[in-house]
Amino acid sequence: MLSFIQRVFKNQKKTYFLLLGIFIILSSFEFSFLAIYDAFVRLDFSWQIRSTIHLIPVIGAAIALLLNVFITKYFMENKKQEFSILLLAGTKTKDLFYYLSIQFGFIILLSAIIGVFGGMEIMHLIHYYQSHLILQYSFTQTIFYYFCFLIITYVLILAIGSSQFISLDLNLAKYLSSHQLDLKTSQKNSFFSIDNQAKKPFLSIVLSLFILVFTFYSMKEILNQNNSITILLFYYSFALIGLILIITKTIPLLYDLFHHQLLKHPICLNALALFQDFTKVMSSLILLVACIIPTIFMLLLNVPSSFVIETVTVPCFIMIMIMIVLCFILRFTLYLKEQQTSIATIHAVGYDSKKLNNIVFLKNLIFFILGILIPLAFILEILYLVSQNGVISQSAIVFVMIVYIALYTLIVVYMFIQEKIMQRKVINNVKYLNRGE
Amino acid sequence: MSNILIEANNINKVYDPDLYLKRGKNFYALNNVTFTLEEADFTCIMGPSGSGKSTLLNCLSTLDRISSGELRFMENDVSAMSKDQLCEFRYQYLGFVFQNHNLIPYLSLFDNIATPAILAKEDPKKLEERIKQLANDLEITDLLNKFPHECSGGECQRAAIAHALINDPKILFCDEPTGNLDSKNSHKVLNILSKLNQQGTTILLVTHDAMIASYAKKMMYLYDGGIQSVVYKKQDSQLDFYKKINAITMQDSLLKELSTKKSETEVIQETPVEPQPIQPSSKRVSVYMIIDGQPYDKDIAKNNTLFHIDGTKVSFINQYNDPVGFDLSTISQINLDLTAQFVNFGLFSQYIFYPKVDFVSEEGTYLFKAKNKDDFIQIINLFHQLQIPVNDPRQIEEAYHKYPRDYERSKLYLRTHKDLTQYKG
Repeated sequence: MLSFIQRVFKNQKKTYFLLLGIFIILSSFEFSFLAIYDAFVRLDFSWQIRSTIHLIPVIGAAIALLLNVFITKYFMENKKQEFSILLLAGTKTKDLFYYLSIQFGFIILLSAIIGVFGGMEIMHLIHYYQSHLILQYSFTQTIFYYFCFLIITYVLILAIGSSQFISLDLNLAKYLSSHQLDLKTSQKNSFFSIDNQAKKPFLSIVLSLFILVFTFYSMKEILNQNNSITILLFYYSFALIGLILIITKTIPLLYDLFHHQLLKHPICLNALALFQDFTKVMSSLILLVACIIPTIFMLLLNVPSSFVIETVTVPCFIMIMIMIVLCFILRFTLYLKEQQTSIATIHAVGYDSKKLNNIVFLKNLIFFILGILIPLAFILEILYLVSQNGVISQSAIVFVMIVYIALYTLIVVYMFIQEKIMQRKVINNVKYLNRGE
Repeated sequence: MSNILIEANNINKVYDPDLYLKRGKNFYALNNVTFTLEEADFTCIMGPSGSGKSTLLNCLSTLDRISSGELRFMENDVSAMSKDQLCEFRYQYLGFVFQNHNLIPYLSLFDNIATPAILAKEDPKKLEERIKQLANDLEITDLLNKFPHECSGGECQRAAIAHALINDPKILFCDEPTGNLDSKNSHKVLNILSKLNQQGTTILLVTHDAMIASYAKKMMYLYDGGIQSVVYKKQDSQLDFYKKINAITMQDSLLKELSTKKSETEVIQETPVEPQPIQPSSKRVSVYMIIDGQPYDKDIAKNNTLFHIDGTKVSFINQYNDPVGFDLSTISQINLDLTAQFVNFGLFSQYIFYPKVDFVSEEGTYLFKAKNKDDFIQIINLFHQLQIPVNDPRQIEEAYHKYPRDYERSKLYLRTHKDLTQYKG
């Protein structure tokens, strides 16, 4: 088994190195979050400050853990055929379990060890830039927390692997077939019907309009300084829920309601459909940015002004953003591979390069507005509120925004370049359409 | 007279960039294929794995480019079209059905069918009616709101057929449309295709299944990138046509199992038993002229239609794969001319010159382009021996005498026949 794993590693070096690299970065950040948490446990602050500065690194560490599992899950999905061939060859499920443990266990252990050093280096950098506060953390204690997180990560990965093995075992033939259908659950086109006598979903339309209006109203009210903290939290929750519903529900509803009119606009129809598909794939990451980042800053509202807050918040925010961007790029790369046949098919029926570019551009524009701009506006509002309370300095806010914009610009540029490369590759090669010879 | 939709003359598809440098062994996925598709044809392409079936379909449907040869679509030269022009062309005239249906997973069946049609920006109500009508004919009306993963293979394939037909294409290209279907659904799909063909749609279908092929009107059997046999259904029943097809496919596999390997000379020297008289045509046919019994270039012969000269009798295989010929004694005059072909290969781009030979007779003029190189002088000598007057305004014969080698002659032509090499952009 070890020699087989060695062969697999050797032939998929690039994939495994990429996985290792991402795990190392996530592990380093996880260590840093836990070190920051440990450092603040030892400091003497009021309970209000403590609750906030403890929660922020814990949220960061939890996000790192979830992203570790998230990435492993997608790597394992690509290994279904490898596992099913092993099952076909007579390997028992138990042995496959050991196979997975060795393969991923090695990577996780290696990344955890390097992550410790990476995390220590990050702490040095924080000390270097925040010289007015020394974060003294206990290495032993931090390693203990880190080890607990490592065990949880490993257990979750094994749980995901187990569920996959069971489903493989039950449906082995399906996974061995070379013509697997895409089993993604797509949005049901429930509102659109060619039957003209079908009832229009008036309730859903009214609800969506209400959500839209109330979300923007809530976002406006957040800026009202006369509101008490309770009402502020109320509006904040509404705005957050509303944002999620707009991204995940309103666009599909618009697509269904205006489907008839969209038939006259092929670029819009295809762009909206592509955006829906894209959102489903990237929804967890988009929502992470739209919900978690503002929540981290929201936690600072009821906290008295202190330089410690800025010391904790800014590095944690930067690390969380970097983690999300890394995972976004990885997931996007996998998503692009799934799109190759669709783009090739659309091109084959007569959509030239210009039309394809327009479809992709429009999809990216909608993503930019809903997935980047609106959450950015939301975050800016919260930051403004926080800066009014004097919790974070204006220079820190500017720095945070620069980091946010720079990282998202990186995402947009990366998306643009990769989609262009993919399109060119797919248009010039007929193998993406059929088996070819 | 039937309309010719596709005309392919000596098309090759090579998967080796060193075609002209001859550094490596070239892999001919398509090897000198000459093919004609007429309106309302239902042609099936069969062959073993790796014979070039899908490659031929991809080249004929403009999804892939040929390496050499001539490919004309309703009189339009496909090789001269840009990518965007090809896109427009496919949108207007062609429909595709693939083995994996290739429906877009994030669009409903309705939207998938509408995708090609919405480019025309027609009235949505009319489009909806057309889609409904198609869905009705294909028995998928209840599935229009569903997504591909919610439908069975047969339902998806029928949706794919609707997607291919929505723009009323002139030609429907099907690459193993029943490859992923059970027999019941396969027959359903083929019945639909047969019905479409009866209504006038031209269909070109690739399959490895003789039963599926029996639904067509003509079967072309490919082997190693070339057309080995052509079988016509004519007035036969489907069962008799199926038996004919089976005989061809079985014969091929049995021969390969039982007989020793044939020499290249034997393969190449297969001449038609009884060539039919050729009709004069305005189309120039590319051939490699060989005199039976005399040495010739085997590499050129392998990649071109052979023009056999046996005494005064001439014979070759035409674009319909029928053996045809004529008698040189009926020829009153031979006109020689020259044509230049630009071969684009980066730093090694060059012009290649071929002689054009027009045989003038009382019935008309037979037009040929000779792919011969140094050995063409033997052909000219034969014409002189047979005392056929040769009109040679470009002094091609003199060039052959003065410069027996092709490379030197090409340099001479480049200097002296600049009119042939002027850019016709």
